[in-house]
Amino acid sequence: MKSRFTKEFRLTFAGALHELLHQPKSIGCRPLCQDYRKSLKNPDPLIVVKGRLPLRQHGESGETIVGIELLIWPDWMNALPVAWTDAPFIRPERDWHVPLKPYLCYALDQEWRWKLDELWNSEAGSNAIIAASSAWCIRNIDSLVSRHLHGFRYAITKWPKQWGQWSHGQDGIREFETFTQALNAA
Amino acid sequence: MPWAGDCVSFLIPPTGALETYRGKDWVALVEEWQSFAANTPDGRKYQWASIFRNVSWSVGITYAGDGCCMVAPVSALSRKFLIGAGAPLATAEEAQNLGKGGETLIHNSDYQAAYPIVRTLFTKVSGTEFWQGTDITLKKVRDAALDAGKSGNATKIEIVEKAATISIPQPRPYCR
Repeated sequence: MKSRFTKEFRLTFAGALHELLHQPKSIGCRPLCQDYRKSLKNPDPLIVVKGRLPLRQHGESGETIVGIELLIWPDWMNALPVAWTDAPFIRPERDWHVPLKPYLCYALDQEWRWKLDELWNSEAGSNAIIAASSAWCIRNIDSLVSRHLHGFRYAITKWPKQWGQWSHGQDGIREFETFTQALNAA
Repeated sequence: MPWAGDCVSFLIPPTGALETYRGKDWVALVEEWQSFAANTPDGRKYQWASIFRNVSWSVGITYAGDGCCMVAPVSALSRKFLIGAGAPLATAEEAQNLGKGGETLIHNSDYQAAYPIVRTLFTKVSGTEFWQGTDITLKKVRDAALDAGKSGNATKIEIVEKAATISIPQPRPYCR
């Protein structure tokens, strides 16, 4: 049932992301694989959403606007959309969650999967799942880009300890597992 | 500019990106003046901050809309003065006269041009077009940015569904 929902509501999810972005914006498809032989075997296209995002997190008031592109996977409930930005102030460093400019590591896949599973199991309606997941994506992208903006403006060169993040690599996944275990124990 | 003992005026020619300057770069100048250059090599060497520990300044600083003013050098006997006139000088003087020691006053147009984080350090002076901040330093601005960047200071996402509230975790980026 969940896989059916994932398939049937992927475009709705993409539409909700599109709705949260500002003009000029677009929504379209492109093959999952550049290689046409592979794309024939896997005809599910990637959905591409592009638009402008006024930054509104961490004290920003929407005056700074950046371009955003999102690629939505066929199994979007298990894998976060790939996001990139054209913001010129992005610091391309792993510690700033941009290991390869301009791609943004704005959340943890495991956390995304866990929360969407929780929503699914709570029998939340489709509208609620779509609204929560799309708002989560855009808010987290906004948050990461806004933090980069502050780093650029206020000469913050090292990711501050007080800014929340998951540690890199397996440590971050372990932190998340500890977090969910603590929640389950409670 | 003429120095009158208890009052001094500066004209600061814009250099670099005006957006950055009006955003927050002027804070460095205010800080240097109000701390008697305590953090500069000369300030440390000559201990001006200690010598003038009982002295404080009210600073009025403005770009005043378009920053235009008229400036001319004037010679009087053996001395040369730089004389300025125009909205920036008049506005800055009005601002400075509204403040007390340690305070920095900026016009509404400069407040609007400041970055949102810088704005949080100012409060409106009622009945005027000015905003007042106390002991404004770059460290204070940076600390405000660090505080704003905490995950808890991002928008909370709550969606009401069938009388239940769905909460989304705070933003925590992750990178392999």
